[in-house]
Amino acid sequence: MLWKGENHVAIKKILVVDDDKPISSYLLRKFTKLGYTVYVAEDGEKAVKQAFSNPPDIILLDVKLPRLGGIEVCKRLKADDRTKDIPILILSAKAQSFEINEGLEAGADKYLCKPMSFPAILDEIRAYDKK
Amino acid sequence: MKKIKTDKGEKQRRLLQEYIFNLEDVQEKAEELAVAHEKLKQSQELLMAVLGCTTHGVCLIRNGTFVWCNKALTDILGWELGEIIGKTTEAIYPAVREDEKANVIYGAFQQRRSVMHECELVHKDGHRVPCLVTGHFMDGDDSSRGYVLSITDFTERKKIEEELIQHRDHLEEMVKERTAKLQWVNDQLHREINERRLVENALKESENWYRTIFENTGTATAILDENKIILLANAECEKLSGYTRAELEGKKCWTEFVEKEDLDRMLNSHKLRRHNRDAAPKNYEFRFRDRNGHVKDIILTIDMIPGTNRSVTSLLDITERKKAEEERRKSEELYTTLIKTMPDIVVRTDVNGEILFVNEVGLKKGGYSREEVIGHNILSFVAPEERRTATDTMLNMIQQRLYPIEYHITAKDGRKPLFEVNGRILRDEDGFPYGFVFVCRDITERRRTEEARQRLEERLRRAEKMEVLGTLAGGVAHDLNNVLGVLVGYSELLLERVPEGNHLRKYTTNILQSGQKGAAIIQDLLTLARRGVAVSDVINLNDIVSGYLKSPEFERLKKFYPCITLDAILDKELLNVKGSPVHLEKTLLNLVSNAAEAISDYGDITIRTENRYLDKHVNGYDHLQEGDYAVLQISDNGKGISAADIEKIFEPFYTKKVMGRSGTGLGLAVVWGTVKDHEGYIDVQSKEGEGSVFSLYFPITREAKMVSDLKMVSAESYMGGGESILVVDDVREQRELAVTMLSRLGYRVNAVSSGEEAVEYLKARTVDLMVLDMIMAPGIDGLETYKRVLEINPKQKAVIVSGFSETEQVENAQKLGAGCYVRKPYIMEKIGLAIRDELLK
Repeated sequence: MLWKGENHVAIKKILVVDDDKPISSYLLRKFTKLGYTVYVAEDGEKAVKQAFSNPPDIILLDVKLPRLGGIEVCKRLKADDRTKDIPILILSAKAQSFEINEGLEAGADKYLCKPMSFPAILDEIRAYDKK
Repeated sequence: MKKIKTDKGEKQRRLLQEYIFNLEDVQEKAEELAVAHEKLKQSQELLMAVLGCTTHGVCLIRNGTFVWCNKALTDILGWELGEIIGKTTEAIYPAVREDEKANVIYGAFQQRRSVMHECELVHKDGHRVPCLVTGHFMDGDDSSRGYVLSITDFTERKKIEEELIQHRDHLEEMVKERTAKLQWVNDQLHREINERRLVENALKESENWYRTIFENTGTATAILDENKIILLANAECEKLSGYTRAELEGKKCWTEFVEKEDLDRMLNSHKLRRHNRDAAPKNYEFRFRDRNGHVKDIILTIDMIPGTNRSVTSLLDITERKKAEEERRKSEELYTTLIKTMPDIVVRTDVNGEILFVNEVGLKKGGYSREEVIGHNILSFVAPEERRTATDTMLNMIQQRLYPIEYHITAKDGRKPLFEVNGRILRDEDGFPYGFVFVCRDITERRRTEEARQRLEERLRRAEKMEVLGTLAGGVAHDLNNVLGVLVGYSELLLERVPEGNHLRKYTTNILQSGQKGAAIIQDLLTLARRGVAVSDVINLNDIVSGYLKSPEFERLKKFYPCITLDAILDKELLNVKGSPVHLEKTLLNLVSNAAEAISDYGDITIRTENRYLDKHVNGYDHLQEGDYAVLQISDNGKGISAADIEKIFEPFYTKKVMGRSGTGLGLAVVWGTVKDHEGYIDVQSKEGEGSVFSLYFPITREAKMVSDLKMVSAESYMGGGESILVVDDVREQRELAVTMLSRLGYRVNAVSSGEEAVEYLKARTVDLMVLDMIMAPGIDGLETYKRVLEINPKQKAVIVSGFSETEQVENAQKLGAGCYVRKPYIMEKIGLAIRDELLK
């Protein structure tokens, strides 16, 4: 409960990109409860569209996505001026080292491997508050 | 598929992620539930506590049966908690039909709606309890569905309400009664008001009258209350006090305006008046102090206003009147005092001159009593010879011609003192004369003083004239003496050379005598200058007279006037005087010659001497001071001197004589000068045709008379013995004469012409004696010369010669050691004796 009021100083808007409904809705509920504004995109195209039209403060991005993959999404966002400064945290079940490298090379700021508890994810998000 | 191919762990991770999130969710919900449960428990406890404390009965009804109730409800309805639980609601609600209100409840129960209504519930003991019932349906599952009722006991409130209704009814009754009464009173009041209005109108009119009178009395008027406050004041009050009405009315006490000295008296009256209207004075004076501190005299009139404790007062300012009265009194006093104290006579008469008033001075001066004056005509007191003038003057006065005039008034004792009379006519308002006022000043003494002053002035003028002429003559004398000195000196020397029997001897003698006569005239002039007279010898005037009677001058006079008899009456006891014999002889000679000349044919001349003591000063011809005098009097019975001439006879060069027959015009001037030099006085009494008397007063001395100087001196006694003499003189002739004379006397003589030369001469050699002229010009004078010579030779002897008289310089030289002083012109005998005396010292 102490997080409230501290966390949303810098980061207010979070774009959650995951095609797994139970995960995305859980994150949506938890972040909203803490006072964040959360947008959810179920595929890569929606994610890119959403990010351009309404740039979030941070993006939590899955890699395995329908239509447009997470790596491709990452590359596009980092390539565009409107979104290139938005921190992108990849949260993926792909945990092999080449996969991780692929994500980081695509411009992701951090590569998180599933499974992670919500407090751990929150810590990662909060780490960008101060940046 | 491709996914499975790449990573088997990936799917597991994905599932695991979902599982973790589910777990976290469940855990969170469990936590929340625990919290909610705890809160519920607290809430339940709170609710129970509240329900236990409240006085409102609360119960839960389910299916028409009490399942729970709080303590308050049991108190309201009288049931025990155990008794009521399980009972149906009918137990407390009366039969449905009897109370329709109860239907509401049942209706509400059936319709499951909230309700609030008042009804009577049945107590355990059967009585009805008025209550407010609030019902609320609780929906839910079967276990929780039911009706919650809140029941508030209204018994007390009902009771109060009933009482209130009773009170209200009672009040309404009273209001009705009151209203009826008020209506009556109101009607009554209306009637009274109408009546009062009529009275007020009458009063207002009356008050207007009084107000107008109050405002226009012309005197300050005020109404005062018993606390001394000024309630009402008019405009005059404002003027008098300096305060406006607003400042006065209701604010000021009259005591503020009263001077301290009057206050106690007035306060006393103020009190007394309120006890008994007539006990205090209604009019009195006091001093009023206004706003600016000016004090005014006021006449106050005051009386009580009947039936009140107020008084009405009017204040009349009499300051000016008082001042005027005081002025008039002072003025009268002033005039009375003036008339009493003035040294002049004040007389008032009627228009005919009949005396109505005369002051004390008038009575005193005239020596009359008041009765002898009042009622008599003023003209009867004027000297008879002046009455005519006085009458004319009075008539002139009526015609406005005013001037002071002098009258002699006849005093009772016959004296006729002289008065200066100033008169003024008195006229009434129409200008008609009704009398006179005369102020008469006694000017007898003033007139006398004026005359005396005139005489004194005349004398002073004369003395000054003589002084001036004398000074003039004195100035001439010096030069003339030098001329005569040569004449006398050489004729004397010539006489020695001319043998006896030679006819030239007569000429020489004449020259010598003329020179000497000239020198005598010069001496007269010097006498007039009052400088040449040494009055140090003690003399008896009898000797002077005797000497004169034996003198050749007298012999000559006798021959010239054979028909005149001269008598000398000499007082043997005559006291001595201090003076100069030569001058006194000359004075006598002049007076006798004048007397002789005044007698044209036969006549007598008397010379008289006597002692006279004047015990007070006498204003005769001269102003004689008191004292002891030796008097020399020469009287004749000749033609006398006219009054016009007598004032001038002593003036130099004033003569009535035929010019050339005698005199210089200096005879009497010399007499005057001589007498004045002797500090004496002259009195002259003369009448034309009867003769003249000249009295000379000389102050006496008690000093004894000296043995007379040897008249004859043998030539041997003053011959020199070859001593050396230096003559110092600036005049060549004088120098030569001196050298010749002194050589003949047997001295070795040298001469120099100035003081400077003398000093130079004496630096080189010494002389036994200097013959030093005092006045030399230019260069240093005799005194300075002698001073310088003394520096060379402190013991240098000197004889001083001077054509002028003994001056300060001569005295100073003598103080320094110089010997005698020989006046020029000198003869051999004089200078010889002087030198001899000095050399023998």
